[in-house]
Amino acid sequence: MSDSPEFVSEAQEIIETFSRQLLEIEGQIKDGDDYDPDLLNGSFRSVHTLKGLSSLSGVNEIVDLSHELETTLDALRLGKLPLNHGALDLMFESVELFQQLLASAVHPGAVNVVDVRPFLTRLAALSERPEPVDENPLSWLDDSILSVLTEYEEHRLRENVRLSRRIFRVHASFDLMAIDVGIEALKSKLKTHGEVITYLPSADGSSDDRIELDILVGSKQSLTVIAEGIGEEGVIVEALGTGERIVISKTTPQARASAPEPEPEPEPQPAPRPRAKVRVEAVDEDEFPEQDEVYGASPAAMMGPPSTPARSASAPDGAASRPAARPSASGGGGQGGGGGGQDGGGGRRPGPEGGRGPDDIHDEGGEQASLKSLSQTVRVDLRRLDHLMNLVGELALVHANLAATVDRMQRSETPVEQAREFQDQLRVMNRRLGLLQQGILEVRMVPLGQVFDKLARVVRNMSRESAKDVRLAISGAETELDKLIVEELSDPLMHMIRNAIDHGIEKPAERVAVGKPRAGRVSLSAYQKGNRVVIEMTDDGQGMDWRFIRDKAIDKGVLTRDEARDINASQAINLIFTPGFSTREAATEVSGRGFGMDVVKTNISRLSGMIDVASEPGRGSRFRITLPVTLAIIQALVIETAGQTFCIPLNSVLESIMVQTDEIQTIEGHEVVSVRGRTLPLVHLSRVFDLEPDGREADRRMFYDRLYVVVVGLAQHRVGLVVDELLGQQDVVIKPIGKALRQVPGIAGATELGDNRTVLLLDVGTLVGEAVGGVEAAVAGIGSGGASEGIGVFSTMSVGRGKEHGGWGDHGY
Amino acid sequence: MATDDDELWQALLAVTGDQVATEADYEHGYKREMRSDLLRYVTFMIRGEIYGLPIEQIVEISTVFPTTPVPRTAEFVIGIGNMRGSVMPVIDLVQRLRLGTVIRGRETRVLIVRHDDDQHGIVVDRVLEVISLPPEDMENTPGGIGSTRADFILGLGRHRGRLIIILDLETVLAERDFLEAKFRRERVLQ
Repeated sequence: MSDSPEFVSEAQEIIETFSRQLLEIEGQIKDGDDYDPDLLNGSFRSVHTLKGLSSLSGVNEIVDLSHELETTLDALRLGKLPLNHGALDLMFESVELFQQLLASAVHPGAVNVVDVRPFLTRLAALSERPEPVDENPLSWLDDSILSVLTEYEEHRLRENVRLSRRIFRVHASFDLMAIDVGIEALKSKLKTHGEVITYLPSADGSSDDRIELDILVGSKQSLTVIAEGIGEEGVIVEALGTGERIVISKTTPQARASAPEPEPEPEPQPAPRPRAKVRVEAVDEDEFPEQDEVYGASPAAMMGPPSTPARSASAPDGAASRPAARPSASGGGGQGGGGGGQDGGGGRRPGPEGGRGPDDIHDEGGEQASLKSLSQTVRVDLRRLDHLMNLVGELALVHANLAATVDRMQRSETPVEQAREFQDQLRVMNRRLGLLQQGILEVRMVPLGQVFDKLARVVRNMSRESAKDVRLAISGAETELDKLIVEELSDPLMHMIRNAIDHGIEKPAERVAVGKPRAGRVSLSAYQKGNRVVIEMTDDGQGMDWRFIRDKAIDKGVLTRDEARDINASQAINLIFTPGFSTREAATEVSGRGFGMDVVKTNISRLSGMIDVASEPGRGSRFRITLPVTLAIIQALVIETAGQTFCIPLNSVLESIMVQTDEIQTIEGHEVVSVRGRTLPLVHLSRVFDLEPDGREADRRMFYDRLYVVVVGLAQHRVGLVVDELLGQQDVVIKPIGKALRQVPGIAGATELGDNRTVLLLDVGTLVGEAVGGVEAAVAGIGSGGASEGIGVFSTMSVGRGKEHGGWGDHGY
Repeated sequence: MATDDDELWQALLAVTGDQVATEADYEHGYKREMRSDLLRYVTFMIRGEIYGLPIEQIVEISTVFPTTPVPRTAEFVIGIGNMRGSVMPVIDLVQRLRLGTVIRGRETRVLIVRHDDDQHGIVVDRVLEVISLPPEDMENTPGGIGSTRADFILGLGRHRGRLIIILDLETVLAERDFLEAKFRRERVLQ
């Protein structure tokens, strides 16, 4: 029961949310002394929900941990404990613990038993710290107010006073029938100015159909600014302590237009405060108002005894974060997805992934070595499903029509008209099928924010461990990619971030010395470009000196001295992708074994993506990954060679050309041809795949004086695949071919063509890599320039592939 | 009349090949259905020998379907085929067991097995029947069989006086062996 996919995905989602809330709090604390209490409330609620969920599923370890955590969070929320870095550290640690516990719940026995006791001890130690007893700063406040405040509200009030905000009392009256709407509108306005501490039913006399409320607000702004911001007739704003008051009249709304405040936004945001640096995917707060009506403003609660409105006042805070705990399926949806589960979820399995293995062992504190999610579910917006259902219904209709037409055709003497009708229906069906295909692809799409959130945590841990101050800036988190790609991306991105922080960003002192800001900056951005998605990671660290890399490569034996002489800057930088290459003398806990970038390269090229690197010493580096939006359905070029049909993903095909046989030259036995001044190595698919006995091919070629060459590219590499026939281009659905055949180098998957034939899909990356290892090195030997970039990078590609698990299509769709 | 019973018993055994409960057995409360430890196997013929696979591992038995050869794979991998929308590798069991190659005929069948979450097609000469074997009729692989072939054998069963060779799918479908040898070596190096 505990490993039901629903539980896992939901628990994972909650943990992600919790971590996101923590990151946001930390970001706000870093920027100023202050944080949004709603976030803390939200995280409290997340943990609470997690507790409930796991006790329902009988995962007692998580129940216990969340229970303790909940207690601590409650104390933090009420201000009994100071929310400082120590406390936050513990919280972040709990995120990791939760994930480990979840992993061991999914695969009992597969993962080491997680011992939470040391953590609980420290948590308890935190709670035992003596509370600082501060003097009562609320002495000036009316006792009648203080006496009705709940503990939490009183804490918030103190907190506001401590931050030298002024406390205002906003007196407003609401129509009983529309009180929920009224309060909501007022609250969202107030939220832009400060914090709503509580709502109090007013003691003033009121008419039967109106309710008057006093709202306590803490804000740094002046009375007039707030009054203008509210801009509602009849509302009285009073500054407590000084006694100033403004009664807003009808004219003020006009004045508001010129007021400097931003319009109240759906996302409540303390106006004067800069947003947290770690901007995590925005909590979907569009739902916030509706949610709130339920919690905040039920008239019954308002009219109850004093304690009741107080409670209802704190509830909206919770409601605000509720959407976060349950991201809408369309936006944050499907957090639960994807599956490192079977794929080794975290490299703890001593699999054949030799490269990653040692890295993992040293991951201290059990930081997840793989960021892949544990569950393989995708949350789907019901509307998307409705849409699909609709399409299927329409297809059924088309089917019925077709059947009827056939029926009539058989009976008709002159089936011309029926044939036309038939054709019409076919066209309709085709259109519907296209829509259905697109619809299903959309279901597979998830926002990149899912990965980015996890990376934010990596950045945090890394900057702690390496004693560097690193800020992560994220943009384009809403860019959508196929779930499969997003999952496969998490590990490469993690390695890149680790490298950026460990190698790129300098120590704070060094940064200051060279005139850079103390805090290093790593930015992740994603955007769509045509039918591709580009992900860029830039850092403002020390950059890469290609001469240094070149020299290291010689030291390590990756490059010979002769090769090194001709190498240029970008070729040298490409050396970082060579497995086992590291500029470090000794591996640290974080990096330095030289396998991270190899993983990056292999994973990216397996997703038929490209990666390129630019770096400027002293200024930083930029990695740019270009990926197709989906892998499930791709455009492919169908070719034939030696009587066998193959598909080549169109996104790696640059062009198809015809080459006269007498244009072909050889370099050290490797065939090459010059295309527009560039030397293009030729690869005969039939030879690479050993499709026919030697000699037969030559016999066949005797009769032709021209060859079809499909020019394929991967990053800067170009190779011409010699094929017999180009059969055309087609949308193909990629099918998994099973673990056994996935390891075949050069084969990426299988697909079906119209006539129920199974056809293999080529893995261009590997084929190019193999070719580059042999042919291009030879080409480079005679110094023919461009085509030889990045020698050595690919020579071991097939090796790298062999040890990888999970090609396309193994994620069970 | 114990001898009569015995004779009858023997006669029945000769006909059905199954164990037959006698009158006396039932009087002692014997119920044949009570045996729950019987394991059921699908048996099939390869080169005149009878092989068996536990029935739970078999998804279905199909007639031969078209396959596409996959380059760079071992000899015994016939290729990939599409069975009801899922693409799976299809292997020649005869060649896998190094007994030659399967000769396709009217009785050639493909056993679709599930192994390690993936489906595989296994081509055999002829499928026989489903039998039940009590564990006590199973014996371990005797020594003396060629060592490589012995790896494929999980155990031996006896049924109606004939030897049933129970195969070990784990080794028969060992992923590593699917690759052509020269591509395999690279992995080991790594």
